Amino acid sequence: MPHIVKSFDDELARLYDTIVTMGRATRTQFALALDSLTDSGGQTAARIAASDVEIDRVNEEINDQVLRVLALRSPMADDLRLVVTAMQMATGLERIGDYSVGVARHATALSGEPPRSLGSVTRMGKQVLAMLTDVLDAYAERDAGKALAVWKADRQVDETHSSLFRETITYMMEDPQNIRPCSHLMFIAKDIERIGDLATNIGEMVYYLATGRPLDEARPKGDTSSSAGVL
Amino acid sequence: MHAEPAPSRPPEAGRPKITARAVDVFYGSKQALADINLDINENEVTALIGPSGCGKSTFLRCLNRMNETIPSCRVTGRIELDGIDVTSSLDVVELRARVGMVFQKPNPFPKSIYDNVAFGPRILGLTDDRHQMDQVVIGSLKRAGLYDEVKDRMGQPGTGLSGGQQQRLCIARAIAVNPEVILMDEPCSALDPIATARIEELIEELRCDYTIVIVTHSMQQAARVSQRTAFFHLGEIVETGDTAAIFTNPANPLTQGYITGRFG
Repeated sequence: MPHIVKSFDDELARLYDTIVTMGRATRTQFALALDSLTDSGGQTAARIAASDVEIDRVNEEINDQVLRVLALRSPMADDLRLVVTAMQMATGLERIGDYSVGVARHATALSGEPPRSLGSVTRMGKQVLAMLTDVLDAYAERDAGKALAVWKADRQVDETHSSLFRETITYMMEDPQNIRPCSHLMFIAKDIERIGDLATNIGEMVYYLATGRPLDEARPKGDTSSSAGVL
Repeated sequence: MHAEPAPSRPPEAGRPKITARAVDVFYGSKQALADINLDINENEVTALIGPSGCGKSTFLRCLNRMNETIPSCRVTGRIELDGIDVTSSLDVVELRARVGMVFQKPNPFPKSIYDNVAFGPRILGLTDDRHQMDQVVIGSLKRAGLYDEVKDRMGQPGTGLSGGQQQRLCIARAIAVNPEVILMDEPCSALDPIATARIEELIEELRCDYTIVIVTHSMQQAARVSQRTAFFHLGEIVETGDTAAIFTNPANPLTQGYITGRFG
């Protein structure tokens, strides 16, 4: 049912569309960052730095739109949830953009000497890219079930991260020559893991947006890298 | 009777102060309310919202039998104040002393500020002592947040005050007889935003000592001041619940449509 004030409908639709656009740009940014892991020329990293500026600009635009709607319309119920979620999602997506830049920066430092764990990181990247894709679809379709599936999938990423952490430390212990590339790899893995967390947060937001209820289950965590020993 | 502002006790929300069961109201042959069931909890602010003509003011006026002033009006069902039927077991004068009312438009009597507040206690014979009456008037004006603004002109007409001051005078007049419940029918709709903010702040303070029922057309006001909200539509209650839940996640699509401005 449309609002009596038609311009309110227009503003909410615009906000929704801008989030979808920002989501798409952020997903592309992260996919490029993963490409940069195998791109020895460093050209992908340069493209990412440029597109991050655009993501930051869209984030500002969303904040302006949110402030305007809050100030002028005092939204309620599902409208309020859409507006509040938009602001939180924009912040999350902007952070994903930043972490993607981090991945690409460390990938540049790795070029020419790919470490042995690169395959595992690439696999983890694909897991997180799938989560990001799914959670953005969940937002576009306001699908609480899909959002919940993403939220649950984060456990797998955490486990991969923990196992990668142990694997990388083993290589470093084997040969000090591995320390530099493996350190970069650990930063990359951590950035990707954080992107997974942010996609999970967005899953929580989409769930709240769609149902009006917060996800109050304890979040499944599988990352033991902070307490992991070697092997 | 309180002489000075009574110390505020912590709200003991949750106990029903007023209960309405199967209440129907007719104006002649036209049914205005149908099967209203609602608990109004003590020391809480209950907001009644809904489109114009939905029956929320009619219901409010049932609570202190103001509808009896309308000859064609007929009320059936049961409304209890502390478990006592307000229609059959309470004298209307006693009921209105216990259940005070503040209206949409400030309506001070054409009397002095002092006499406006002293009017109720005098009529009810609560005190003949001038000093005691002074204390009642001053205490009530303080509770209504008006005393500091009028203390030097208590003998001047109440009608000479600003709209917001007049409304606070009406609130002081209502609480001068030490009611248990205060009914407010759109108390801020004729006031500017500053005066509205003062009344809303006052409502929050008064909640500690009184049970308040407020009819309002402002969704934001209902969300700000109330703990529970009832949504009326076409003479029926569509949804009742915690205000926070109603305004973030209403269960009924009609409530959702109304509070988000999709119909009304």
